[in-house]
Amino acid sequence: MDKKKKFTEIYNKYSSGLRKLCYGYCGDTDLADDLLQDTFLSVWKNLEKFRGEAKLSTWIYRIAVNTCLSNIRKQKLKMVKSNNELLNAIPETKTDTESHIKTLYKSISLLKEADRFIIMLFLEEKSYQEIAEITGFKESNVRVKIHRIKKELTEIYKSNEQF
Amino acid sequence: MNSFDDIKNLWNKGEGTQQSLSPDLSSSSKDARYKMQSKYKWGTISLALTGCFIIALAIFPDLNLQKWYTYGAMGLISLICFAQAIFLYQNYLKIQRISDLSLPADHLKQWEAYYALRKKQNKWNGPVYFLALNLAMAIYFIEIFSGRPILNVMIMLSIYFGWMAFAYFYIGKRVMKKEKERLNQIINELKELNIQFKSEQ
Repeated sequence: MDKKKKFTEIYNKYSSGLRKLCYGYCGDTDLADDLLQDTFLSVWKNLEKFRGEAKLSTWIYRIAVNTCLSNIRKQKLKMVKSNNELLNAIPETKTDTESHIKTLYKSISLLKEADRFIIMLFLEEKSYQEIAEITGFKESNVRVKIHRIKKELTEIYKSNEQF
Repeated sequence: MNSFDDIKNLWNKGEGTQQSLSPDLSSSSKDARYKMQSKYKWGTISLALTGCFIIALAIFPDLNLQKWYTYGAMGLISLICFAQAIFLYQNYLKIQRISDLSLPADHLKQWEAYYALRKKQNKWNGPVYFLALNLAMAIYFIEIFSGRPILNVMIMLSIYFGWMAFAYFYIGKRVMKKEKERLNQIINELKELNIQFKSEQ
């Protein structure tokens, strides 16, 4: 299979989930699209290096996590802006479900960076083992963390929903 | 919305698809990494071209300079340009070597090392480049200004050194201070992230 065809297949299969991951990480749609673009640029550049030692999804999600982390400064600057925008914009511009989803993404973006990735990978139905392989945490530690983050996210979501 | 299961349902309803069918790989990336690499790449190219241009000027037959040290100064200026070009290219390579495939903790560590190196470089590279370039320019001016009315020479030198002093002591110091603060902030943020990814691995 040629590189372009393989890449297109990867894009079609993973772009939706990765965009959610990027959006949840930064809480800003424009920046999420930039991060997604940069993730796939890195996938394209590194595609020959994929040897199949790990699962393809593990490999791709790790690139996405690293891309998000290396854009920390841009993300922090935008986050202040988008947090303010969210509180003002949701009620009149979005339907109920859309505004709930946006509040969810915003709530995720208020967690600690590592926690955001762990919970989003869990929500994407990745196994504990795969989450551990992507993030570098021990599997047993991932289980404990997920239990804690679930509670924390539910609380943040509830408090954001009241606005 | 009372439980995590509700959150999970909401997550599954979330729209993850992008409007475009595939990413535009030809477009320039907005990623900080590629921007930095691009800055170093074009810096390297423009400095190398400047060095070549000065050498070409020195060997141009109609230049008609009399003193060997004037040619020496031109050689020194091009050498400084080439040295700075190599310096920028090395930084370009350092960024290129940062792996997106590593574990997040290692990836962050590589960025941290890069920014720590930039912080060190900032202390010496700017002043050394500035001093060496101005020393070479001063040698070059000896012949260029010789035999000209002293008042014109004084005016020209005052403008040149005045601008250089302003550029170094005012603009340069301010830029360096800002850059130092920026690098410190990035290093601290990376350290903070690294703690998260390293803790109880």
